[in-house]
Amino acid sequence: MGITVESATPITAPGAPPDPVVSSIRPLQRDERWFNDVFTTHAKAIQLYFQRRITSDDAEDLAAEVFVTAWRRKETVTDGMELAWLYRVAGFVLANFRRKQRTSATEHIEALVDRRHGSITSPDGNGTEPAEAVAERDRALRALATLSCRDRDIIELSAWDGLNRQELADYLGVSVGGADAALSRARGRLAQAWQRMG
Amino acid sequence: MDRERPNEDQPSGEGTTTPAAHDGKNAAAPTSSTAEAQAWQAIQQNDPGKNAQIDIDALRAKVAEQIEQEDRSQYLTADSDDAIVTPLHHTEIRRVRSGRRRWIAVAAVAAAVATAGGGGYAIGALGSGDSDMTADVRIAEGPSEGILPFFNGQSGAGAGRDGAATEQADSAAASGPADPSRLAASDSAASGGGDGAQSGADLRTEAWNNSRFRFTDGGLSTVGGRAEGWGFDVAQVATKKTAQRAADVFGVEGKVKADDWGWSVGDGENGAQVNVSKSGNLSYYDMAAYDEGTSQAKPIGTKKMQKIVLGYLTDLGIDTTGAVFNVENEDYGDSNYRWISLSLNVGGAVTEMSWSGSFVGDKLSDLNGDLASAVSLGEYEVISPAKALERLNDPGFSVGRWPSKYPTWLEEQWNSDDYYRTLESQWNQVPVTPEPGTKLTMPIVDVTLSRATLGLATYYDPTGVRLLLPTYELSDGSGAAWQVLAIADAHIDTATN
Repeated sequence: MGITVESATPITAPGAPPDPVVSSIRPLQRDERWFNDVFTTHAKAIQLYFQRRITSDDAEDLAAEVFVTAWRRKETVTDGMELAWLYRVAGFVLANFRRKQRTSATEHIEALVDRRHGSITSPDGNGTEPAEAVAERDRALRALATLSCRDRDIIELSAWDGLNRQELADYLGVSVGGADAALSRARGRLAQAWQRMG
Repeated sequence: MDRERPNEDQPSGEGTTTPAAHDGKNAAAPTSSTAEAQAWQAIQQNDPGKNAQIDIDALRAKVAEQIEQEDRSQYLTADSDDAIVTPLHHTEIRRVRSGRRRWIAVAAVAAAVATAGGGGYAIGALGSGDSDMTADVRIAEGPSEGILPFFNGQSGAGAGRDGAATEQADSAAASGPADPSRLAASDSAASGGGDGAQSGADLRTEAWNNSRFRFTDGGLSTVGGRAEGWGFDVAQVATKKTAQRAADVFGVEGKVKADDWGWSVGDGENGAQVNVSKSGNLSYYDMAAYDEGTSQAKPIGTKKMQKIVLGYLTDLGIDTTGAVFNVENEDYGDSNYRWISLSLNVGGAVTEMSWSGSFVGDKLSDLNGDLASAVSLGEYEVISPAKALERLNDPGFSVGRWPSKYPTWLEEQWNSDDYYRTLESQWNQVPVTPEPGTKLTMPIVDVTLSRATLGLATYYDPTGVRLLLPTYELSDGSGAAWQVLAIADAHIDTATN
């Protein structure tokens, strides 16, 4: 890949006394092998993250942006938190992309609802789905669209991206109990929205 | 319909207690667990990524190419017009104090720097939960200026923003240093092989992670009282007429269109659109403002932003008396994007009901919030804090499980890199083979509640009606707290038919 190993850049303003918390970040051994591991382990998950959330073909580009950032700022990735770090960066990359594309999360969900011939649930691949399955999907997606951004984020990460309790907790920056509570609340609101649309 | 697939790593929700009733906000179980399971399963089964094709090699090639391109341009000197300036030493990183949030903050800055034109947004989204980055600005002080505490499980600022948002763990003000012996116990656990998981510190954390508590009364008052509750007049604002008026306020042209979700005016593709939902939420956005705003060099000033937002809210009929602005005070560098939110005051409590908006340059590009006014439900009889404790031990109320605040020592543990390194080394151990007569280790924390604060919190009934009701926050002095509905039994209808 032709990447040379970079030394960690000190994260303080020039001339300012070092912040005691920040200067405790030891430069860890982050080389090409580390990066390869991170990429191999998480590339598919990150690209799928984007593929689920945008309707254009830019998922690959956005995923690439996340990994380029991981390489550029590798000293900021905490051991054991790589996936959560990647998802958070993916979230910001997605938000920027939507702003530039002038599209929103709810518009995307509407597009999913409209996608009658997509590959979401049709098992035979030729776009025909039983009417009930279509109606249920629409109801689920519309309910999802009414949630707050945070609730939607939590539900999608758990239901689609498959984050487990610890991963969700790392991503949210809270304890496992806190993540459980957050997901519980989100699921409760989803259910309320679901019932209202029944 | 199948039961949802069991997955032991997934957070539980299989109909033990009604999940939405885990915190003080939804003490009266609002939805059936069947609906919850159905809705969840429907979402899981409709994963848009189900049949997606991923070409990992192509992705890898793109990553390599981008890195090489950036490497090449790094050779340009700082004097060159094409030099890339990366403000890695930006002040945002210095100001974040807590370790755990530090890496999240740093990741955000990293992403902001790496993505063109993204700096402002990422840092704005971080505004929630990090008091260094935002400042509360009070406006229009009314007779009761937020004296009453409002208990929310989420931070108001940044709660509605698109993209990643931080779930705040409601940290109490840290008082006192971390107990060094606690971390030392974890360290010795790391070198103790299979015994590591049994150290005192880990057992306590284990109990907290699983929310196993036994509550006892540490001298809570036995005196109740009366306090006001609030509802919202959504029906008055969730109308076609409101959508028309809102369109007039924002200058959006077109006829009002109705659909299942509510009403909208304007097409939004190239211009502006106003949406009023059946739940009384207004959402305005203007695509054209991006164009105009991005051509301007400077971001809007704070006072001007506040003035514009207040102007719109007044025109929309929102009462902003006693509301609190939340404004980020970071330097956005090159971006002229700014974000602002306003938390409304109801009954003397600054609530989680907020309006938030974005500006690109001096153009408002979006604004959204709830239109419904609060209506007083009159005074409710309020139980005593001692009686509230009984509710914590009552499964019907389902409030004892999830704390609204965590103890200081636990917060510090989350923020400790050493703690995670210790945990990591423990995870990779071969488990000990149990002996006959082994007891099940199931740590339960004994919590002695000695303090009670009365405030307001949000509750939803089964039909989605939102209420702000008197609520106690009971605490034990360690920074941990639990919220309990404070209105008397006579005011609660627990019938299931």
